[in-house]
Amino acid sequence: MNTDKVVIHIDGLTKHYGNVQALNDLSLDVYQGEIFGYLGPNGAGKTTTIRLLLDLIRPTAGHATILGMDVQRDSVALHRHIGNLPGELGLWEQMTGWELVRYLGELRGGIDEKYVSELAERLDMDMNRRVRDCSSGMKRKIGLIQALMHKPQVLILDEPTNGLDPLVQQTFYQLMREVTAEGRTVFLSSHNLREVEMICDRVGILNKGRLQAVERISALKQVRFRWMTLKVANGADPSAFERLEGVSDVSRENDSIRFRVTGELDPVIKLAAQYHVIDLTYEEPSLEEIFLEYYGEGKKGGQA
Amino acid sequence: MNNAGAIFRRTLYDHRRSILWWSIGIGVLAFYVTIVFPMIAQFEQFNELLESPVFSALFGDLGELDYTSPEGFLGIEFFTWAPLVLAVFAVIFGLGIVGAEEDRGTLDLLLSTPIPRWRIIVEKSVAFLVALVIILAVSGLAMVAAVLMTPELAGIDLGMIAVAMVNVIPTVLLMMTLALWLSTVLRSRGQAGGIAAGIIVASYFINSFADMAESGLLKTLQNFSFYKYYAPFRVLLDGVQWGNFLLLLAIGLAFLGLALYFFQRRDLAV
Ligand SMILES: Nc1ncnc2c1ncn2[C@@H]1O[C@H](COP(=O)(O)OP(=O)(O)O)[C@@H](O)[C@H]1O
Ligand SMILES: [Mg+2]
Repeated sequence: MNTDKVVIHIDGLTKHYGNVQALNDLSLDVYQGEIFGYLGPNGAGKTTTIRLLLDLIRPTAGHATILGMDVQRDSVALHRHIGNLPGELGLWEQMTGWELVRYLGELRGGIDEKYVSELAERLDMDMNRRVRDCSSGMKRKIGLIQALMHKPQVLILDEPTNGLDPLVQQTFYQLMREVTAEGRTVFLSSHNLREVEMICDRVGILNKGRLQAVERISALKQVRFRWMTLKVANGADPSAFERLEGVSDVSRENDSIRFRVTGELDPVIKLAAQYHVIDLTYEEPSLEEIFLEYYGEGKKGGQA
Repeated sequence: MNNAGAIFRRTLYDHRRSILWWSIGIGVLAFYVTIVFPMIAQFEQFNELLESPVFSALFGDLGELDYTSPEGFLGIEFFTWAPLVLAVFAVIFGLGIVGAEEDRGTLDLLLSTPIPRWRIIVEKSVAFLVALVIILAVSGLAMVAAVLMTPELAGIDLGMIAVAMVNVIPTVLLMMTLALWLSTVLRSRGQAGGIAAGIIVASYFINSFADMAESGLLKTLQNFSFYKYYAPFRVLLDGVQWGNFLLLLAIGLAFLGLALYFFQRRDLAV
């Protein structure tokens, strides 16, 4: 990731549908060579943002540039450098995979058939199949291939792994790493924390049309805390753990006590050693919890 | 623009079956109508029938035209009906130009490539024009074949058949661009299609009824009926009336311009 070079610059982007504020005053920079994860629940405004960036819908206010070009005014020239995977993917049902990529390739002024074959092979996709005979997973693969086939500088992918089986997801992650290794940039939306955590360099969290936070994944992970559950014969005294430095949110259920640990583990281990420990589990917090921690919006204990 | 024509070619290819069937359908109609002429012409009383109000209501006032002449007969029986039948093809095609792509969600993919929005409308409209010319050419050939097979029709100028077929083009083109324009303004394809069909049918009947009327509201309304300017009855005798021809073409292109304008500005549906 090269933070000197802004590839996607979004400034005050807003989209209202009547009373529905689909997107509110979004400002955001995405840098060259990064995988930016655009995370949010259903209806957060992810698809709206992406379709604004592609000039498929027009903003109520604000503007955006990609590679220095205005997404609205320079859209035609800009689209040469963009690969797009729509969230609601519609394909021409009567075409085969090959016909479809050749058609789109023709509109892009040419197609590298060798590269398409390579992509199809890696994604295990039979491009001679007609779209109408494809499963939804296969359609997503065709969608991915057409997004990648012209080696665009910027990939804009709306929930790309939705409907892909786990093996193909791994191939997809690998492809994205290769793309960024070449200095190209990926903007992908997702409602899956794990996925974003796994492959993204930075994440923006969107909720109800508002960007809540933007952070590096690595910085977030430094806010290290974990959930620990001890199962102890005859039970243990929660208050002993509560008094330890770095321990909080202690709760007790039957023979188990559960708490949050921040910082060094040593005091916890020493104390636990005094008991007859039957089991110990140790969980990484979810991204959501890390965010709450990071922005200090209080620590809600409970389910990890 | 090294990718010019890709959408045009794809559209023609995708419509190949529909073009084939419409060519056969209209071709058979042209052939049949022509070949039955000698049988009809035996009944002199037809011209009397034409004077009756009911008939005028359906076909309008024929003026000096003789129904039992081959040119008059074809003018009424083929060239009056052909655009109305082709209206079905035109309206469906027009609604499909952006509507079908939008409904299937393929418009997002199409417009993510480096092509401006107007290219979709223009290339597909040109594809429509070519499809229409193919259908009319087949019909023209079918009519010529029928004329050559019928001694009673020996007097017909074959060149005038081609002219009469060309004369159909602006009217049907206008029907297509009307449906196209409405589909870019109204979100529902059904609504756009219904209104387009309503306007076309109303135009036809307003024109026919107004031919009967001496003056008044109907005559005024008739000026807004594009059928008034199509006026096919004497086309095989008099050829194209260029003023009307160009007027219809201009209106058709105006609808196309409106479609381009509205489509360029609006949000695409998901
Ligand atoms: N064309 C539209 N008309 C009205 N409301 C819309 C339209 N498109 C999206 N919305 C609304 O905008 C909000 C954001 O939608 P969307 O961007 O699709 O969310 P996401 O992709 O994050 O699930 C939702 O509340 C949705 O109902
Ligand atoms: Mg979405």
